[in-house]
Order: sequence, then structure tokens, then C-alpha cells
Amino acid sequence: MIRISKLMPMAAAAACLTLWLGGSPFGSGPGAYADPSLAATAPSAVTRRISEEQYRQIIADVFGTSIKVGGRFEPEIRRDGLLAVGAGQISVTPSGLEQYATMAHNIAGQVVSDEHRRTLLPCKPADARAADDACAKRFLADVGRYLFRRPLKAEELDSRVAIASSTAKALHDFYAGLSEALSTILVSPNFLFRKETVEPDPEHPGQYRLDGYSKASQLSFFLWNSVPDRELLAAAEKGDLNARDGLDRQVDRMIASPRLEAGVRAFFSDMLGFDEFSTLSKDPVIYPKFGFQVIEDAREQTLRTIVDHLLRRQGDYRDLFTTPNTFLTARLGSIYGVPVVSPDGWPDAWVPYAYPQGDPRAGILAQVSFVAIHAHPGRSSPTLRGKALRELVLCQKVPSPPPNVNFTLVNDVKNSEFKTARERLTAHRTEPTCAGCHKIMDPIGLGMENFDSDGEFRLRENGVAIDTSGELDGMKFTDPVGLDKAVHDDPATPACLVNKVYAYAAGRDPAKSEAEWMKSLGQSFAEEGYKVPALLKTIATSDELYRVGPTAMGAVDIPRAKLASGKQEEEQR
Amino acid sequence: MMTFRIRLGALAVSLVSAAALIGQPGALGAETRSFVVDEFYLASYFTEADCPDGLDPSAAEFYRAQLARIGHSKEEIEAALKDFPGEGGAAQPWIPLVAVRGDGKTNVYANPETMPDPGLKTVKGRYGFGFNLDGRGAQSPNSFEDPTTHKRGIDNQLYRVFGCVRGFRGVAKVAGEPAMSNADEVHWDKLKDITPAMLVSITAENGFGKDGDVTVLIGRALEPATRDASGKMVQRDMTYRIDADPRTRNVFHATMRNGVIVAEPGTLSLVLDNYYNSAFKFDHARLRLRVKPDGELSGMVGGYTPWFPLYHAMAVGGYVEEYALSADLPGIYYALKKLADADPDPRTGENRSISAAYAIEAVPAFAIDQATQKTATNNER
Amino acid sequence: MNTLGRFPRRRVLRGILGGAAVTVGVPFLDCFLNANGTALADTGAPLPTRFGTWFWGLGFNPGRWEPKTPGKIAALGPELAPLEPWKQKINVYSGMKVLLDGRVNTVHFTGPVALITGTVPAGQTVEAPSMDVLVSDVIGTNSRFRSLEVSCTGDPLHSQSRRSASSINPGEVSPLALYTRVFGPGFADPNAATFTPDPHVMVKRSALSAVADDRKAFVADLGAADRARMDEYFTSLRELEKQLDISLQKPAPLEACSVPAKVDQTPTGTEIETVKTNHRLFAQLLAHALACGQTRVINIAYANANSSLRRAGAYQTHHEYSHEEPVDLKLGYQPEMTSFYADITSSFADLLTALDGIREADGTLLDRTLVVASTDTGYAKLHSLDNIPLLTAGGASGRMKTGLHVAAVGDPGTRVGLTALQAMGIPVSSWGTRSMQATKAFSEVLV
Repeated sequence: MIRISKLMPMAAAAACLTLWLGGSPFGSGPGAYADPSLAATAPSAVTRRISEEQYRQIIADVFGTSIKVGGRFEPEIRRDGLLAVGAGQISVTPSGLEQYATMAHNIAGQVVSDEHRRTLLPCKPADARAADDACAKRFLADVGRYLFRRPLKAEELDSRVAIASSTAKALHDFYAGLSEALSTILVSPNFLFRKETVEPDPEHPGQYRLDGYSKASQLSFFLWNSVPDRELLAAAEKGDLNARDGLDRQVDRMIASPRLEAGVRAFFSDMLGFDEFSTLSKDPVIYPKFGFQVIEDAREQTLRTIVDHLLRRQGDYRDLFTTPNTFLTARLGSIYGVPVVSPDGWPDAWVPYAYPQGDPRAGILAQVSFVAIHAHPGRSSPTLRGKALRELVLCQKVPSPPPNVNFTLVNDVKNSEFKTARERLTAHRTEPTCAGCHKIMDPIGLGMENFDSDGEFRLRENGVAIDTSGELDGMKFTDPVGLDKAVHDDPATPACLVNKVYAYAAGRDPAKSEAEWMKSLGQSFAEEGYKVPALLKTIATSDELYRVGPTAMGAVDIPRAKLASGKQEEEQR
Repeated sequence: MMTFRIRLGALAVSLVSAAALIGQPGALGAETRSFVVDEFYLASYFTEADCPDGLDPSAAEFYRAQLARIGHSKEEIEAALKDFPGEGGAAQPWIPLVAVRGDGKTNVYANPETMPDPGLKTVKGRYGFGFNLDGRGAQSPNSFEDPTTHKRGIDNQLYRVFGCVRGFRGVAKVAGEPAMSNADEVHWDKLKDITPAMLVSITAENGFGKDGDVTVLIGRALEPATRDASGKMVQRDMTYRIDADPRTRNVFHATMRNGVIVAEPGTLSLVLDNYYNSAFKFDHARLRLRVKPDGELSGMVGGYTPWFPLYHAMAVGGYVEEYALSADLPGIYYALKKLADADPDPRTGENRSISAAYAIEAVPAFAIDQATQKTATNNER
Repeated sequence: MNTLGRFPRRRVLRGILGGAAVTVGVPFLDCFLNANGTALADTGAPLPTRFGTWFWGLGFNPGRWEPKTPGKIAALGPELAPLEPWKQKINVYSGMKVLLDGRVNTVHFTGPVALITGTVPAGQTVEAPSMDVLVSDVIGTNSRFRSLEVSCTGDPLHSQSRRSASSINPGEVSPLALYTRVFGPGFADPNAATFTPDPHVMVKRSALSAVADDRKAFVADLGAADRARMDEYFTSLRELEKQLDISLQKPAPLEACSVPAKVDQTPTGTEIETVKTNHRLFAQLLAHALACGQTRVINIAYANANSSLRRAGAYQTHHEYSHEEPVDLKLGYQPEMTSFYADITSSFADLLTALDGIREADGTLLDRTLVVASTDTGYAKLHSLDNIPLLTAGGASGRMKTGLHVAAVGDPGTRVGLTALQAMGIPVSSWGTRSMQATKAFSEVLV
């Protein structure tokens, strides 16, 4: 029998108190391997692996959307709340590279196919059954520049041309040779990883900055979730990005571009944890409406809502949590309980929709993408939703549950017929060992109990009226509309966004040396009416985004799989 | 254990004023709810006692007998029916024989009377579902007794015709309620996704909680029904548009008493699809509906329906309907003709319509009436 | 013609590319040579021992799974009932625990990581690779796939196999995808009468040298952490090269190998019947993959440590039941929660059936394999790290005795890992760190 120590409630409460002071029990900072001695200076360069979204976006941008990208991508990991930060800590496993290689061949094969070579290749070989180094070189240099985000070095290009040549000779097919060479570009670390190259900063002697190409890369992945385009690369080459007006011009152009939408979608997908959609499912007996089409529609609905509000309407970020404007399909209408008529009758069409004033279904927290992801397959979960709001929207870390909870205290057999979640979670609020942390989450989530696990709106649970009163850090509310307003008014909401946008762009949590600057970012965000394009511009044109320290050489020894027998892989090159 | 919940689907109508409005705007306190049909099938009641003379023969059996009648030898017949029915497809040897088993080797589906009446066994049991259509009550010679209310004089000759045909038997989902036959299950499953959905829009003048006058609109939608994630039922709360075409709009005046809606006799006419039944038509149509606690609509529609189109719908399937459902098509033709009980042809005196009752199960839906252009969206555009 | 040295790859391949496809003159990899390097291995080398891990979440109810007495298993506890027919071929280890040395017990994380890597993680940071990686580093270097991972719940990240903190070997979630990967294009049937190296594979292999050439410049100015990650990438690259090399060699015939029938596309997810179906398909495919020499190490994540398994129509998952369902006072356990154990153990039995169903040499594939089955807790309701169930299955080619119950109350669970590593012939005398360091294997089960 496990005894609960008297100290446990205090420890639990203390753990929860910590997060109010802005710290996190599990540490934050530039990843698990960082050298703490560099904390005082600028953050180190981070090599990031490109994500699945970025991979697809790049192929579409460079080769067009008719090139099909299939296969299984190696999973990404989330660190400090973002996949974009986890990207700096992952590598490629053997099975992952196997997949990348298959994908690369597949894509390259399509690029050189009859259908596509006319539009994608700049030249024709002298003889299609033989090598043609000049044409191969021209093509590979051109696409390589986009895919590597910089011109290929002589040796990189020469080796690819040699492959194209030898393969063409062996298989009597110029295009097969070109395809093979292109696939090695798509598998190269220069493509799969974003390396940050630094150079001394002449304007701040002793300090460093990203070089032109790395700057261009930082910008294009930030704003467009893809590789730099021709104009941005040219600006990098000319050194324009090192000048205030040159940088401004490019940033303005990029923010005005329709490609900004892809960048904004990618950011919010990451921030709101939309990768969880891939494993989301509900029990079909309990929730017969929740099929795969609803899941797809739900993701798209929130992203459309966000893009429409922030970009098209130039709206206040905080209003995302209260806006009645959204987009629906008929299936989503069936979940939310509203009729959706598409003009031409296509059942899958997207229709702009506006809830009436005061409707609890306004705001993105009421959407399936929030309430269904953060719930169980068979029922809703105030705790998961409260936790999600804290961590995703307010940047407040919730500690893990203590391991030795004595659940016998919470099994009141006489009252096992709890009808509502509020009743089921009574022990969370009344038991000292539980309440310390649960009072941070449950009062929020209980305000969302009108939304069942699949997102359907309900007023009763098991015949009992649902009580949606709760509070968020002292702001009391009686229904989801009140909760949304509390989130809107909470200063943590915009502060968290600023923090996450910067972390997303830089690939790491803000460093201690950047704390002052983060504060001023928050202030300018407020002064500009919480408009996200303005925030993007401020960050994209800052010095901080590009001020990266020299890499930490030899700082930390990473344990490797060494065995007593000493048998290890030998290097062959 | 499934715990019971009250779904908001229907209640949302009043909460967010997303009402589907039909006809005249409702008076104060009026409430409209719409439903899309999930199942619509001949209301049958299956027990062991239905067919005391046994069920109708299987396809192989009646093919044997009828092929022999027109002179095929035993060897010919056995050779053709070897491996019956086979892998399907027109290459099966029995198909060309059975299609022309009318006298003079005539196509028996187009000309059923070129074959003598094989004498289909019809339902002789006591119980059946439906309505007292002819007003004669228990005096009506071929009427049933309702198994649950024990009202007598129920007229449902259509059920009599099909109830002993093997492919048209079935098992009730809930004991004591109308059962769906195997044939209807198969047909509906195929059609649900492509036939225009059927919509029922009910406006209760005093709201659904109180007795009072009710208007029922039954129409067809512009789109087919959408299934839910399980793939079995129609999804609740989807949006449909009611076709403005007057040929498929039917308004019934009814009253609601203790939650049960009973309509005055009217006409129900629906143009649906070409395959199953291109036109449902009920004269002297009656409705009895109720909204269940879980928000679904359940009930029955009855009336006299022309029998020849029903035969025709099967006849175009020909040998496929026969072998798949053990349904002797000429036999069904004759049985329909014999049991038809209304609308005599002025020339021949033969009845052209047959009494029938169909069960309806429908789930809540949003219905936008194209005729009135009244929409329920709050689209600010 | 024997070749004991190593040919520079390009020189040899160039010769092949210039002419027709040939099988002579290609350098043999060591695995095809016998101990003296003087003859092809298929003229009498012993067949390799295989290794596997199997992971399930939420342990078992204490007292209901262990045999009553140590030593030869007379009868298994009721929760292991589906394994009764297999009790001669498995070992059961009871009473073992995870010792935290003051580190935090992050529920459903610290326990399984400590047991499978030997080291209690510091917070969220895993500090050592999983045991299967250690094994595949030794025995998996010459097979087409160093190891194969599957995840039966549809989430690739439920895999417990990892090389480092942020490098989890993702599990295949679709049996059809696994089939295609192992037995689809790229598969060379060892028992096929003829073998022709595919020129397309040759050019692929040759082309990869360009990627490897990118290495020097790329890592030149990287910090130590990034360097380590790029090491991993380049290790993966070498794996890929090796895979292609192997497919350019005529594989040695394997009597036990038969190509399985292609499987259908199946849905994935956490609903228990879906999980069981996918697991059964995976077990069959992996058994054939082992018998056909495609890999020597398999890793099966039946579910995640939390055990998100659920039944259709139920409001709660296995995990939620473990914490919320009251203990039935008459039965002495939580009925719904416990019902999942029957599914879990019957699935483990399915794996044993798949392995034992393939005859190899004078026994079965199961006899020549060692599977280590681990979980995340003892009594799940309390996240207890005491009496954590651990099992092994298979005879490790005669190096492990089976049919035994080892009661090692209070010992770190890593003793099982150490025993397994030694049974696999990995020359280690200890495994694990701090209080989880095991220095004594279970001699009662080692031959």
C-alpha cells in the first residue's frame, strides 16, 4: 500500500506555483544538448530537419503541384511546444532515410517523365539515349540552387553531373541519369537539413550573424514554409539582406505575397498541435458523425478561419477566440448543429458562415480542432482541454501528474453514477493532492463541456443540465462566451503568441539574452493592434532573428552505443 | 451500456433561430423540425404463422417446374441449372431459358400473362401493420389486426403479396415493430447514396411539447442522403434542400395528440430514382408519425398505390430479381393483380391500386425549402 | 574466386555498369563467408539467432499473472492463461522493479524507458539506446534491414526502439506497407533459382556516393550536438548503402524461407479488434522476414505505455479504466481494465504461434529466437514500479532454457535485459546505470 506523504500536497502545489513564476519544472532553453556556458552570449546555430509540410511545399514550389509526393515521412517531435523547435533535435533513422530515398526517386522520376520534362527541364539532350553533361549541368545547377537554398559548390555539382553521365551511359537513357542525379540532391543533408552558416557581423565587431543564404532561408521558411524564391536568393547573393532597406523590401514583398498563407497555416498547425489529427479517432458507436471527412474538414476549418481573420481581414489576434466568422461544410454543420447550404449543391463545398451575436460556438476554441483533439475517444475531457489552453494558447506549462496517486480516495462507490463531467471530477477539486494542479486546468475545461468529445454542442449530459461556470486566473465566466472573453483579455494570450512565433522562426525557445527584446516585441504587437502580419514583419526584419553565435565545438559528448566488445562501424571515407 | 443523451440537434432549431421555414411563417410558439429519411420500407410483420402453407418456392424450384411446363426435357433443365445460380453474368446457361418461359418462348417479364398463374402463396396470418384505408374496419375481408394496438381492419394487401416470398422475409429490429424485408434492406443500401433524399418537415403550431395542429411537408431533396461514419445510418443534422417541383411536394394537415401526429387523408407523390421505384404514389394517404425521445422520427405512411409500377420496377431487373430474391415475377404479377383492392379500371373493372403501408424512420436534418427560398443560415452575406 | 579484402566500390561497380549484369567479381560481404573467410556461408554456417522486443502498456494485476512458485512453471496466473500452451517455451520473471535513485517518475515514461534502455531518464531526456539497438548493432549489420519496427495502434511514435533521446525508430503502422517494404520491389527471394543484380539498383548504389561526399563540408563547422545528429544521418546513409549492396548479392538459400501472401489494406487505430488484427498480420510478416533473412531484429509495440486500447462503444480507454474503475470487491480487481489483459496476452500468443509455425533447422524459428516482452508498470492503477511483469520467449538457439519462473523480488528489471543480451551472445558483463545497473544475469536460465 502506498502511503501519501504529507509533503506531497505541498510539493504538488509548489510544482504548480512554479509555472506561475514563468519557469517550467522540466527546463526550457535551446534543447537538451546545448552547452549552458553559451547562455550568456548569442544562441548557437541550430541545424533543423525539414518537416513533412515543408518537404511537400518545396516540391510543389520548385516542381509544381502536379508532382505527387507519396510515402511515409519520419515522425517529427515536439519540443518546447513546437515541432519547429523539435526539428533542431531530430535526425534521420535508417527507416526514415529508406523512405526519403524512395520518395526522392519517385519525385525525380516524375520530374523527368514525358509529361513534365517539357516544362521542368530547361534543355534537351543531344541524344536522349546518351549522356549530355552540359544539359545535365544546367538543370542540376538550377534546381539545386533552390533545393540547397544556395548555389551548389563545384564539387557538389560535378559529382552529380558525373552520376548523371555514368547512369545515362549504363542505362542508355539521359533522363534516367538526370533522375538519379536529382534524387541524390533530394536525399542530401543539404536538402533535408537547414544548416545555419554564420559570418562575423561587421556592424557589431565580435558578434556574428547568419550569412546571406542562411538569412534568406530563415526568412522563407518562416514566412512561406518553403525555400527562397528566385528574387530572394538574388537579394541574398547581392548582400541586400544585410541592409535595412533591402531586408525591408524583401520582407514586405513576402508578406504581401499569397504564399504568406502557407506560412501562417504551417505556424498555427504547429502551435495548435494539428499533427495530432493524424491519430485522432472517436468511437463510432458513441460518435457516429465523426468520420475521416469530419477530421479533414475540422483541420481546414480552423486554418481557414485563422487565415481569413488574420490576413484577409487584418484582424486583432485576440479576436480569434471570439470571432463569429468561420467556414463550414455540410458535415461540419451537422456537428455544430447548423444548416450549411452550398451555392451549387456540392456537399463538400466550403461556405462562409457567421454565428449570431453571443453564440457559444464562436471562436476557435469552440471548433472541432480544439475540443475534439483534446478529449478522449469515448467522452469529453475538461482536464485535457484546460491543459491544452494553458500550454498551447497561454504558454503555461502544466506539470505531469505525480506517480503515486492513491486513487482509492477518489473511488466513492456509492456515487459511481456520476452524470456529468463536473461531478466525475469532484475529487480533482477537493482532494489536496489532486487540486494543486487540477485547479489550473479543470475550471477552464468545465466551461467547455457544452462541446462533446466530437465537437457537438450539447446543453445536457445524461439528462442533467451542464453547468459551464468556471474561471481563468481570476476572471470568472458562466459559459463559453465568457471563457472566450477571458482568453481574449488575458495578457498571456498575445504574449504567448509572440513567444511562439519567434521560437518557430528561430527554431529554438527565446534565450535569456533575448528576454528584454521579447518584452518589447510584445509591446509593439499591442501598439499595432495585435495584427499578426505586423508581428511577422517586426520579427523578420529584426537583428535578433539573425544574430547567431559561433557554433559550440566540442562542448558536449553525446553517449553513443558503445559496447564492451568494442565492435563499431568503421568509416569508409 | 449506452447512456441516453438528449441531442441538441433538434433543440438547436429554437436556440439559434436556425429554423427551417416552410409554407407560411409559423404563428407565435410554432416550431418546425425537419427530418431526412433513413429507412423507408414496406411494413411487414414476420412470424412463423404468416405462411401456414409454407413459403414460396426457391428460384431453382419454380424454374424447374415452369421450364418443364413449356416443354424442356428433364436433362435440358438439369444441364441448365447445374451450378445454379453460378458466378453471375449473362453467360449462365439458365438465363436465356428462364427469361422466355412464357408460352411460345415469350419474354415472361414483359408479358407475364403468357404464363399461367403459378399461384404464389400469400400471407394468411392474422397480424399486419398499416391503416384502415377503406373505412370498413373489421368488416373488410382481407384486413389485418395490428399486432400492438389490436385495431382491426388494417388494409395492407401489398404485404400479403410479398410476405411469403423468400427474399422478402426479414426479422424486426425491435420485436413488435414493423420489420424490413431482406429485399428492401438490399435495395435501400444500394440506393441510399444515389437516390434523392426524402425529407419530412413538420410544423407544430403549438410547439412540439403540446397537442395542436400540425402541418407535414414530405418532399424530395436535391441531394442524396449522407451516411454517417459507421456507414450504416444516415448522418443526423446534415443540410438538404427541398425540391420546389410540385410533383414531389406533399402537404398534409394533421393533429398532434400526446406526441403522435395523425394526418387527414391526402396524397403522397414522390418522384425518386429510376431503379427502385421511379414514383411512389399513395392515394387516400394516411400518416402516423411521432418524434422519439432521441430526436428521431418514426412512423408509417399508408394508402393505395398503383401496383403495376411496382411490378415493372422488379421486371426491369428480370432474372436478377428472381434468383436473388426467389421472387417468381409472373407469380408476383398475378398476385398483385388478384389482391389489388382499389381504383377499378373503368373498362375492365380490375383494381389498379393496392393497399400498402410503409414504415418511415428518419433522423433530424436541416431542410431549406427551395420553393419559398427561406433559408436558415445566418450568412451575413 | 574468393575476395578477402575490400574492393573500392566504385571500381568494381564501374566494371559491371559498363557491361552486362554479372555475378562474378562482385566483392562478397563478410556475412557470406564462413569463419575462415574461405568459403561461402551457405555451405554449412550455423543459422543466426534472432532477437525481438514486444511492448505492452499497464502491466498486469499483481498476484494474478505470476506462477505460484519459482522454478519450472507448473501453472501460469489467470491473466497469462492464453499463454498456457506456450509455457514450455517462455520464461516469466516476477518481483522486479525500477529503482529511481531520486529521479522523477514520469508516469508511463520513466518505467518503460528504464527497463528498455537500462537507464532511468532524467526528466524527459532519454540517455541511452534501447536494448534492441545494442543487439542490432552487433547482429543486424549485415542484413537488409538492421531491424524492423511495427506499431499496432497506428501511431509510429509508440515504438520503444530508440537510438538516442530524440531518435525513435518509428514503427510501421500498416501491415500492407510493411509487406511492400520487405517483400515488395527490392526483395530477392533467397530460394530463387537465378539471381540477376538489378542495374537500377546498381546505379542507385553508385549514386549514393555523391551524398556521402557531401558529408565533410556539411559537418565542417557544426557544433558537437549537431555533429552527433549528422552522425546519425550518415549512419542511416551507410545502412541504405548496405541495403543496396545486399540486394546486389545473390542471397544464400534459406530453407525456412517462404514468401508470405500479400496482405490487404487494413484500418489502423486503437480499437482493440483493429489492434489485434494488425498485430496478427505484423507477426506473420515479421516471422517470415526473419526466416527469409531480411532482418534479425524485430520490435513490436503492441500499444503505448499509457495503453490507449479501447473497445467499440465504450466511454473509457484501458488507461482510463485503470485509474477510474473501482476494484470489484468480490473479484479483487478492476473487471473492465483487466479484460484487456486477455486480449494482450492472446496477441502475444499469436506472435509465438507465428514464430513457432516456421520450421527451421531441427526446430522452429521460435527456438532460434529470443523475444523480450516488457511493459511500463506493475500495478497500473497506482503507477507502481514494483513487481513489473517481464517475460522472455524462445530458446535463443539453445542458449536459453525455457519453461521457468524466476522470482527476483526487489531486483532491477535490467537483470532480464542483461540475461537477454548474454543469451544473444553479446559479450557484456553489465548493463544499465546507477541502481539499475545489472551485473548478474540469471544463470538459472542461461545454458
